[in-house]
Amino acid sequence: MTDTAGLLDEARACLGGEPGPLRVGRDPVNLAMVHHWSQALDDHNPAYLDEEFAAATRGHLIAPPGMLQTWTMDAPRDPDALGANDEVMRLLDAAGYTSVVAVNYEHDYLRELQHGERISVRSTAEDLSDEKKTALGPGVFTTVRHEYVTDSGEIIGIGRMRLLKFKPPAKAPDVGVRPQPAIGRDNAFFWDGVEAGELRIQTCGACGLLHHPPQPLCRACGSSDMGYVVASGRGVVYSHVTHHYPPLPGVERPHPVLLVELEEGARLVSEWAPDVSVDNIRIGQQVQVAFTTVPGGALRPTFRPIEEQA
Amino acid sequence: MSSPHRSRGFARQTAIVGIGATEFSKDSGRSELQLAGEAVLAAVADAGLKPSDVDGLTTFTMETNSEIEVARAAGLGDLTFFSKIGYGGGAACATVQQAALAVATGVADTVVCYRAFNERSGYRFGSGAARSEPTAEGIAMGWVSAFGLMTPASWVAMFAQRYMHEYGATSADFGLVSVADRKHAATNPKAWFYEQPITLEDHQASRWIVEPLHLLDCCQETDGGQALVVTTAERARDLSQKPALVAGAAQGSAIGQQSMVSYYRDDIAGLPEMGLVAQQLWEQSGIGPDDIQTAVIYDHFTPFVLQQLEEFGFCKRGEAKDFIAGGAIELGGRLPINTHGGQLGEAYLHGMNGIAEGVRQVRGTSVNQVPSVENVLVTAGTGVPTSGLVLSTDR
Repeated sequence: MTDTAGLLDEARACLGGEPGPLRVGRDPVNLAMVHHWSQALDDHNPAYLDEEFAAATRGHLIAPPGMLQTWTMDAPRDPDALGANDEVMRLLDAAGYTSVVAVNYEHDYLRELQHGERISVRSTAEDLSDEKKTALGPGVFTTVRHEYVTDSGEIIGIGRMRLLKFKPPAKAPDVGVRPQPAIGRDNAFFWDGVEAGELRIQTCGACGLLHHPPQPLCRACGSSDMGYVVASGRGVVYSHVTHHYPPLPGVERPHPVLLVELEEGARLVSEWAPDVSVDNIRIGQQVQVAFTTVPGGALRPTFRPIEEQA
Repeated sequence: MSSPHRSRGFARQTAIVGIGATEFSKDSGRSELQLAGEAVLAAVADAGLKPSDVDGLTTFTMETNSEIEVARAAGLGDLTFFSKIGYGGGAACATVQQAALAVATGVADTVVCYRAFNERSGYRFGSGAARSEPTAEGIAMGWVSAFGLMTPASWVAMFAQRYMHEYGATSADFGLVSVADRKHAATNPKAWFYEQPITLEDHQASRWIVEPLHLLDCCQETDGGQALVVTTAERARDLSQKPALVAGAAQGSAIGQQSMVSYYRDDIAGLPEMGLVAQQLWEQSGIGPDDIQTAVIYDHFTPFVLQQLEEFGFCKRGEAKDFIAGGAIELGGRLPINTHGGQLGEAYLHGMNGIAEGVRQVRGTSVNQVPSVENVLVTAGTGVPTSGLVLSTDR
């Protein structure tokens, strides 16, 4: 197995090499494509579109210079006749830099093009950076020089495209959307509280007993005067599990689930905040509520461990 | 061993006189209704009765075959009693209780209790539940499913973790239940895991399903049907089989009861609903744990077997790990349990196949027969409102 550094060295050896055969544009410079381009970019320069104006100023209609690259887009490639640039790209793919994004593209326009001219292109990788850390992942920058030529071999434009070839991050499996709880008259206050950043625990207005899960009538005194208190959010892990199987909607596995006993006395099932990773969950561990999102984007009351005094 | 029998209420007035089942498979290849019909006919034939003798049916929720469809499928006569009891597997023994109550009071003469499903090839209960309707049940489910606690294994695991913390039980203790079940299944040709015993090492090496539960802590999934015939003890004495008297039959739902997630009680290391069942069974039957020779202890997940042994007083709270050590729950031990292989080893018919094994132990026809059986304890699903039976020989 060749290492990344070795592959990059091989690629560097190909820089500036033989560009390989010309790739010939499918269509000559033509008014129909110019119309599309003008519409798309809202550039209605009469030199591109108005035959009379163009005849008076240029002698004929010209193509917008910025269309340089478009004349050879999707030009057929002979798979058996690859040049040094193709080899550079192959080696970068082999090194794991399989994704590509164009960073910038500089054009030099050597003259204006007129309708009927057929444009071809040949490409050479000119330089190659060391591996850089980027927001997209580790990658290397390379500049590819494109020469645009007419059928007679005249170079009419030069492009220098700077590319980032990068290693795509390992794709996180799409776990889907966490099911939402059913919300009715008896529990709406709790989930409204979650939206408001409050952990609300039902309390009986008559006798003060706390209930969780909430219920419409107090189990001690039968009162229907049910309100809530906002819990401090401090508690301890009373029990816990880690779900491994089967796959569940909106659940990244393995998935720890906590049974938290709040300092007010009520217990509730919850989970860690997404930024928390705890390998050894301990019954009795102190935790503090947070309000964070679960897969699918919905809010949940979740918990973070409280740093304990040594 | 034997204690004075002071019958209370309907105790010993009725008996299970017929048992019948389909094969237990992973893909039955036929409808759930056909499985039900076949099981009912087999049970009726086992009793030496005709389908037209049946005038009552009981089943329990998570059953798709309604009583009227089963009556049609099996060619039963007019029905004067029919009932579908709540809370899934927790109701297994309650089907016999309701049948016994109906028969003892003369509401019906012959009641068939049944369960039939394609739980492996069709809808699988373990696949995860999340309800969205804002009914009382839907809202109750939301307190756990919203946080990714959606499967029966995970609901039980939460209790198990706390039990381990409070009493020092370990995963290997739970594994002893699995080893005993699979040992018994290994010599039961009807068991799915016939001739496939496991070791404790196999149990410990099996993959996590929901920590602290391994794969081998979780029962299998089964396609199949099981039916039982209940009639009066008096009539039973004239039928084909040795009767299994219903010496006790009870349901229990304890304070703070929820379906699988009663996490909000002061103590969650026990099963108070099963304690309630135990208290009634001992009272009805007039016997106690020392009078039980073998038991069928509901084993959808191994940890709750330990709590059940404690709730029935076979040992003190927290001491089940010591009670089950050294082969006590295997054939030849103090209390052989699940001699058919249990749901881990034979089949997962929501406890109904376990009642049939209780009947075989009373008859003396189990493939893993325990000597000198007088009384068998059978329990139903745990974590939910539950039920239990004491089945006894006729003397």
